[in-house]
Amino acid sequence: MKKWRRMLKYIDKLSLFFLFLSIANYAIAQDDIDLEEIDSTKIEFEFIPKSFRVGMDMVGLVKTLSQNEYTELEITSDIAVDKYFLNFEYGILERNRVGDSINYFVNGTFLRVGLDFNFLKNDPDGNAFFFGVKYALGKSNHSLDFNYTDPIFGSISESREVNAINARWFEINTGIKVKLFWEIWLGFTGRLKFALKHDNTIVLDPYEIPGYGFSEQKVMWGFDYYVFYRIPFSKRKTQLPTEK
Amino acid sequence: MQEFIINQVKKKQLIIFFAILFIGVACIDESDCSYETTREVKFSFVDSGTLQTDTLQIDSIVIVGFDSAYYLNSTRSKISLPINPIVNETSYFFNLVVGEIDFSIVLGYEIMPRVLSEECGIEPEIKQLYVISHDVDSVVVVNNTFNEEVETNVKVYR
Repeated sequence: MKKWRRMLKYIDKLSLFFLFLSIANYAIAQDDIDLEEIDSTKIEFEFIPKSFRVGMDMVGLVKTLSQNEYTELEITSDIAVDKYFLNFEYGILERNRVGDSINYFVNGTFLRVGLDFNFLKNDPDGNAFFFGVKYALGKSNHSLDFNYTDPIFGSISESREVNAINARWFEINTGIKVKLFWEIWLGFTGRLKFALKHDNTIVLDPYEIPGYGFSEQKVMWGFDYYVFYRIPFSKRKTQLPTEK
Repeated sequence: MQEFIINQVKKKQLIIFFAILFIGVACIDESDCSYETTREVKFSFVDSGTLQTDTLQIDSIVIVGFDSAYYLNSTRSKISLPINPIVNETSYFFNLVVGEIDFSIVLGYEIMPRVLSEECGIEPEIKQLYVISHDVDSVVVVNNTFNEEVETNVKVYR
């Protein structure tokens, strides 16, 4: 039964990943159609940064405001260079998980750096449908108060604590960034997180890694919804090739 | 024609999306409180002279911290005994039948709590097993993993 549940979870994650791929494929096709309708004049690669965008994750913010003993804040930023976004993301997590026999506390920070490819480079408003990779680093502290009852040897109550646990992992990201009005943007990012490595101690096995999720999961899936503010470096809109 | 294809693709994507959402929701929050490791140490006995399997004529095995005795009046070459996940060592007293020499083994280890979930609590994992003392020829830890698949954790030569 457990294996089936795991398999279902795995299929679920893979399906979402392939759904994103199919949407990406669809977006590329649409972009191509638009271009074909106008012209297929080649636009040269520009190394000049076009804009700087800074945003905040709304999922974490809502959870922080609505839940007790939970703080998750994440700031994301990108610099647009031609059809690429250079990304920097920084976040904090502070969370208490309380059950009948445990009280687990984690707090830590994480940083993600990566590059996204924008499939909609020629969109006149600069809307983006992107796909990219990121490398993430995190540092966290963990503490656990627990009661455990063994059917043979009896009960124990104990506290354990580990600090400065380093973690690192990779992510494959995809999502959209859409202009709402003025320079306010909205976007979401779907994340496939994998290849987690973290410091091991015999004292306590970290249960949750800030920015990644459950440390025992080899692959984690995540969604972030962002509100951005964009600072353009030039007033010029993306130039579309002129009609013949 | 192009519009028709795009509409079909959109429909398909919607169907896939809701199907995935359904599976996703169905998979959320199913807590499985089963343990991944065991709290049993598996001994196998070896004749130190011939290095062949040794068979014990057991009268009883007593574990410190537990009142009952194990393997009463039995003959075994491999046995599985509980390890105490509350303290960092467990003492085993092997009382053999008349004519054989009784012996004892004390094992030491680390206990690492692994959080299963808020609902399920923790699973104590036994790590870094080692031999503290014994009064036979030799006792060797051959495997530090505690699960159903492992055949032997400790080999006892006597």
